[in-house]
Amino acid sequence: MADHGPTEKMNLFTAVNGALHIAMETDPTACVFGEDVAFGGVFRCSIDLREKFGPHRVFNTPLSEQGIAGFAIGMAAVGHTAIAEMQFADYIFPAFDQLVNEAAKFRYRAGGVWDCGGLTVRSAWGAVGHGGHYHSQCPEAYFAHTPGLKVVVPRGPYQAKGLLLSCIRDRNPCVFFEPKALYRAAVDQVPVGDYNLPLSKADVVQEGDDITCVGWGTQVHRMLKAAEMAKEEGISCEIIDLQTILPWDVHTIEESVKKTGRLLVTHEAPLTQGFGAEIAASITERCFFSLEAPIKRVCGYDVPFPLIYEKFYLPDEYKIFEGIKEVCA
Amino acid sequence: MNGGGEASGGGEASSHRTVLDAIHQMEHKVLTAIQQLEERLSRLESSVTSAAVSGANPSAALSDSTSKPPARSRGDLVVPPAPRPVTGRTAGTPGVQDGAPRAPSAIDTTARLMEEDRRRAEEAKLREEQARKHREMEEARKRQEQEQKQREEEEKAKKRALLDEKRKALLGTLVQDGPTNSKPGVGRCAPPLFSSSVRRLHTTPPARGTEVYHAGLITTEFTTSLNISKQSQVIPIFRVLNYDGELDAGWELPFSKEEMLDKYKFMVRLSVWDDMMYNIQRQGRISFYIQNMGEEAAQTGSGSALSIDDHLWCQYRELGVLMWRGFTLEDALDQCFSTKGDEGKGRQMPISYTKKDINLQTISTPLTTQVPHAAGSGYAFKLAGEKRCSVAYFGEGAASEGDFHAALNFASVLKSQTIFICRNNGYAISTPVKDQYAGDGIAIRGLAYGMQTCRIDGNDLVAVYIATKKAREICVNNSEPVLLEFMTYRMGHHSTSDDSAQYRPEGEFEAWNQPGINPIARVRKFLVNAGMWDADQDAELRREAKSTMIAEMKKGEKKKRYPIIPGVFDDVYDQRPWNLEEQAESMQAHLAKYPQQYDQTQYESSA
Ligand SMILES: Cc1ncc(C[n+]2csc(CCOP(=O)(O)OP(=O)(O)O)c2C)c(N)n1
Ligand SMILES: [Mg+2]
Repeated sequence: MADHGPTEKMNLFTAVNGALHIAMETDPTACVFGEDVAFGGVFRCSIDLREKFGPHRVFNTPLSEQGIAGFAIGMAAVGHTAIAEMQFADYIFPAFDQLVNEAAKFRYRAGGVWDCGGLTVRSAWGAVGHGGHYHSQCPEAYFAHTPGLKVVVPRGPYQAKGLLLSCIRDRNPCVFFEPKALYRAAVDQVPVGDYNLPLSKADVVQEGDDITCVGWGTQVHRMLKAAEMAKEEGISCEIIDLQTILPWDVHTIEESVKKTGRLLVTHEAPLTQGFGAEIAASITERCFFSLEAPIKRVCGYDVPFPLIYEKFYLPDEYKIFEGIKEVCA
Repeated sequence: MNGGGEASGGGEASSHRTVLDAIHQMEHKVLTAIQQLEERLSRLESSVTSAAVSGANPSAALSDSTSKPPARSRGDLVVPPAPRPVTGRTAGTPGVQDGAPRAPSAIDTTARLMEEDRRRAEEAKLREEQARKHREMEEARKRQEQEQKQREEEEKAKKRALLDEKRKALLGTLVQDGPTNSKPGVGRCAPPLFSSSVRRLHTTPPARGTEVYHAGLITTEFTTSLNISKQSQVIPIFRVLNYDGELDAGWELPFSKEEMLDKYKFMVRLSVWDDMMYNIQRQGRISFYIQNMGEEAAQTGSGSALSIDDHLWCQYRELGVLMWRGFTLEDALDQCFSTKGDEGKGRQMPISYTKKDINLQTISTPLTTQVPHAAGSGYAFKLAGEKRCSVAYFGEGAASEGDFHAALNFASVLKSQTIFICRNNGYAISTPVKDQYAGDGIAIRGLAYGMQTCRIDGNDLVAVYIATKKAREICVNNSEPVLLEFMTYRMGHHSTSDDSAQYRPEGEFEAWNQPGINPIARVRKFLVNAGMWDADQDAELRREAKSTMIAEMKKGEKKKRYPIIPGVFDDVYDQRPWNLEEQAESMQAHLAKYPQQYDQTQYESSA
């Protein structure tokens, strides 16, 4: 971890809140808006912003994700910084058209003369224990199928703050998914000041020799637990947090797999057509002769996210551990 | 049908008669022109339909068709569509673009559809011509009127207004009366409901002046005064039970006093149970809950005015509507406890109720998605000629979603048998209505979409009932949608994940909780005034409701959950594809390997 000055204990939502404060302070064109944002947001991420920066820059929107995305693109198109919140990633789909057909193609279709690079869409993402169909989903793969967007998922408070600030300042439209299970649960020493973490750069969380395990967000913590179990079996795991889903860092993974000869990818979202498929295909192309076993995906089942079956549905540490043993057998 | 204007104009000055004569002449010309066009139309039809059809007597059709109104054609409608690709056994059917007669035997369903398309396009073209002729006639008429005007200086404005009225009425009859699809054997006998929707599109063009006819307006009117404005008409709130629990003058109970008492008891039970559900969530016995407090009258009044055949498309804060039609406390607890009694198999969060036999479509948390469903299913009911409707419930916040606007527009244009019920309760989670919209509530949008609309005091059980009953009548009998806006107040938190103290202004709750305003207390006032209820009875009712709930909870908590397998894997599709078969197997093996890590005791075993 690079030195970014004095730190403070923060959880993921306070880290996000800290990033938003800095973004608003350092950029007078920046605005934060979305459903229930004014009173601090249903996950408290926008707390105190309105008091500090005023109701014109921090505001509730009418209840329309399509409207939020379109409005944000419009602001960004004329040079403002738009930080829009989608209350849950499960509710981002009304905005899909605006993000996929408008934001993502804004620069390309204008031959580079127009862009909406000042757009960042934040959204609460992933399983939380009791969310059922519509408070649990991980829709990153849908967006990863969209050239022109950047898609980012932090695994903890430190990454959340640095990556969010990078997204806000990046000159491309970014979708930033925040693992809501970690809003309170994950705590780091986080720099109080301003810092950016690089986009499109995977993070090697733990080095190892026998197998490379790639995941993002909440899965990183499950991979770490599985790696502990594997260690007792004498298997050394290299754990990589992909961090940016699009455009993704193939090189870090390629390098790791060339070293370990084995790869496991894991995500909460359903297996079929998940981003794990993209990683597996690319790594097969690039590392075929280094691979000692087929690439393993440990993912959600191909079903909607089911409330009372959540703990059976999730690709938890035990399933990852089983996957690791299978690949290393 | 030609007599209307004459009869009522009989006693007028002779100058009027001159104008009327001119109008009649004009009418005659119009009718002849239409007749000619109809002849062309029918020739065209006979050339594209079967020999049997072309053998039908075209003049028989003509006598009916003369009264057909000019079509309100829009440009894009008059382009004849390319013939649809013909598939399967119809592949050999020759195209009909050239309009040559074809052997009848070759015409099957697909080809007929194709021809229907073509015929409709041709018809639309002809109708456009008719419309143009009409317009020309109107222009001629206008010129004559102006000549008349010069001759008749006295009272000209007044008289012309009178004649205008009559002419409109006359043309109105022409439009309304025309049996449009009565030709025998042509195979275009639309169901009666269709014809009513066709008739609507043929609304009489405003027959004023030489101006062009604006097809997209209800009234074409010009002004020389520039007026940019955001003023709209006041939409009053329909209320009949006042804050003293008395019926306002001119209104009687739409049901017996005993039924009023039944509804009261229902609301009290609902509120007691609702509160207890909230509390069991607080105790951690269920994972989530959404309260109904404050909206009991809106739910009970509307729910009891509907038929159980009507389909419900709810948001989540409508427990009373469901319970009125037989969703039991046991059903509610089964869903909230995720027992195997939940028809949804415990897959969804608490309050996402579903129950087939009471026509409750599954509650889905993504907001407003159910509203267009209600428009579509209401349309299907119309097509099937069913005397039932679809009812969409949603909040004023949900009404900001695009789906709301699409749904209202679709239902209005297509005339769905749908009732849209907005619960305007002041908040969408923390967002107050002033951050939600700047217009005059939700009702104004119904008017904008050309929909029957009413705004109602949602805390007035009686007004809600009367309005919903009436709305249902209009909806089912006229086959058209209705929008109701219930003005009410969300007295509880948004949900158990919310703390409304963070944003609710002080005193607001108290204002809405005054006995005359609180929906339950208002009805209690009525009952007490009528000598039908007292405090002891009230306390007893609440005790009874509580003990019922406690007994039901004990029962519910003991019930097991639906088995893990097939619970996770069934119903994704009608049948499991290979990947789900494999995944089910792999999960089973995994659970067997790690029995300690996954507590399965709450689940029924799949065997
Ligand atoms: C598409 C979508 N966006 C956001 C949400 C989160 N959400 C759930 S309820 C709610 C407020 C709804 O308010 P309203 O429609 O007024 O209904 P009320 O809760 O007042 O009954 C919001 C924003 C959601 N469920 N679906
Ligand atoms: Mg509301």
